[in-house]
This record gives sequence, C-alpha cells and structure tokens, in this order.
Amino acid sequence: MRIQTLLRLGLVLAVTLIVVGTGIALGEGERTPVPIRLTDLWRDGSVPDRVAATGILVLALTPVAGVVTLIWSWWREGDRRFALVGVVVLAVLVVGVVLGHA
Amino acid sequence: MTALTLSTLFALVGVGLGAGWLGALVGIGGGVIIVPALVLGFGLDFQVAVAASLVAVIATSTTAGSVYVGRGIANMRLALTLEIATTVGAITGGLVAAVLAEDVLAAIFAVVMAVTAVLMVRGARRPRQRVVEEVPEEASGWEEPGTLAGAYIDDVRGGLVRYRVEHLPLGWSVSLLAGGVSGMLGVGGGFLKVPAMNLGMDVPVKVAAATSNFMIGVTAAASVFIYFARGFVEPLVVAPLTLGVIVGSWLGTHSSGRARPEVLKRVMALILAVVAVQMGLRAMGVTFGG
Repeated sequence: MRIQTLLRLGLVLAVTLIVVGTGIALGEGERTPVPIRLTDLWRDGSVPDRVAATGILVLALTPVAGVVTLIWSWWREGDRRFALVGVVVLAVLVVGVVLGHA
Repeated sequence: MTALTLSTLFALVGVGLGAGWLGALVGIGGGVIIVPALVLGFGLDFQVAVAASLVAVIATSTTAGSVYVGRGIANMRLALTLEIATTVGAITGGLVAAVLAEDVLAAIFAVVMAVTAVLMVRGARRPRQRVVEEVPEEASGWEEPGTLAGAYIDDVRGGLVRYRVEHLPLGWSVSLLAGGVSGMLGVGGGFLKVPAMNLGMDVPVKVAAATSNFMIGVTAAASVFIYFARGFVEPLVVAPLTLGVIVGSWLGTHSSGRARPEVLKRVMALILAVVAVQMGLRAMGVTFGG
C-alpha cells in the first residue's frame, strides 16, 4: 500500500469514529468531559467517550503505520540502510509508549 | 472546564477551524493557537491542552501529508533520518512536561511564542536560485535510494529541481530541540525545522516544508501516547477540536492562492505576541476575569 493511501484511510477511519462518538455524546445532552487513559480505553468511560477515544487512537497510530509502510517499501527496494533508519524510529516510538505507562 | 454543551462544542470546533486555517495559510502548526485558546479561553489544565493540541498536530500532518507525499515533494528518507532525533526529543519533552508545574510550562510557552513571532516578522531570506531541468515524461518528485538526495517538480518555475542534503549533524541538533519543544508544549516545531533544513542543510524550502509537515505527525505521535497513558486526553474536548482543525487546514490549503502571506504573517505575529504576554502574565500568577 502506498503511504498517501494509508494516511487517507487512517484519517477517514479516525474522523468517522470521532464524529460518531461526538454525535452520540450530543444526543445524550449536557455532560462534563472526562479524561480517559489508554489502558482503560475499552474498560472505563461512557460509550461516546470510548468511541471518540478510539478515533483519536487510530489518528495517533496513523503516522506510526506510515513509518512501518516506509520500512517495508524501502526493504523491498533493497535500501537496507534507510529501512534500518525506519526501524530505529519505530523502536523509539515503542519506547515512548512503554515509558508513558511506566 | 465545566459541562460540554452544544455552544461549547461549537466553540471548540471554531478554535480548531481558526487554528487549522491560519496554520495552513502562514505555514505553522495550529498548536501555538490551540494551547493558549484552551488554557486561557476554556480554563483547561496545561497538560490537557497540550495533549489536545498534539492530536490536532497529527490531524494537520495527516491531512496535508497525504497530498504532499503523493506529489513527491516531501523527502521521506530525510524525514525519518531526522525523526531519530526528533522522536527522542519529543518523548523527553512529554515526560518532562508531565512533572513540571503549570506556571513553568506557561512561561516556557510564552518565550517560544515570542520567538516564533519574531521569526515570522523577520521574513524569509531570499531563496537560493537552483538549476531547473526539463521534466521527463510522466515524472514526479523522487529520492535517490541509499542517499538523502532527491528531486522535485517546481510548478512555479516549470521544471525539475535536483538537490542534495548537507550538514546532517546540524539537522539532528535542531530536530532534537524541535522534538523537545513539541512534546513539552504541544506545538509542531516546524518553525524550527523548516529554517534549519532550508538555510542550514540546503534543502529547497518547498521540500523542507513538506518534509517537516510529515515529520510533525510522527513527532506528535511519539509524545501523545505519554499524555494518553497518563490520563491527559479528554476525548470530548479533542474530538470537536480535531474536526475543526481538519476542515480548517483543508480550507487554508485551498484558499492560500488568494491570501497575501506577508500581511497574514504580520497579523499572526501580532496575535502570537499578545498571547505570549498573556501566557507570561499567567505564569506570574496574573489572571484575567473569573
């Protein structure tokens, strides 16, 4: 898959979930926004919060998926040096997720 | 922040719309508008505002990135090479911001906004004239595998422009700083990276801007997971803001041909200067109204 196609797909999926979550929240009337933790995404919170948060997660993962796509395409082209650069960036992103939970 | 009503929701969409539109027109991310608007206008905690802004930065980057990457203007090899430093900076910035006091963050933000305002009014240096070649049939921009060199089609000059990348250590240093600022303050950091790539690394400004645009999404993603994991993401604040930013960026991109960038940059610099003073006063404990 080309990276621009992946970015568009991620954006459309994220926007859809965000619109649905916000729409349900509006239908439920006035409410106070509450924070939601990544680890509690599918456990705590109301349905609109969780749907909108899932959309936000999809949006946040889209550039990460873009990095994976670049690694894959450079590896297939035989450009091992830049595939390795991509792997290093991906590893740093994973470290960020792990440190966030620490 | 109190209850989310229909009017609050529209106000959040409006902030996103304005930030996305202005950001796309003057070539900076919307974070410098979103964070102060949420902190000063909606009374949100600084870290919650930064988390919302980082999601908005990803939305802006993804919206424009799907266009720039498709046109072959962004140099993806250069982007990921610099991202090694930027993501490290972003994670460090995110971790530091989670433990810093709000007044300290507000003070740092005020300084960064003042610097951005000065950089905007100083204007761009006259670009170096590059050799323009005839465009081969059905060609778009490209990168040379195994190197950072590339080429892009300059629509204004009607030809193919080749370029090489120099002074990589300088790029890494500025990228590390830009990542730290992004992770700590929720801004894209393009105002640091684009001049560094263009003036310091000899990358054409169009390529630098498009490459930076892809980079800010990856950088924001690196730190947003820290804010998400620590409970600073409020989905029903972020959601309307993000929708506004996406529409605003799209409108800004498509109306840029009719706008006068120099006038807009001066207006934007004035707004940034005023908000920098407000954030500075907040850092010193002076607040306005309730």
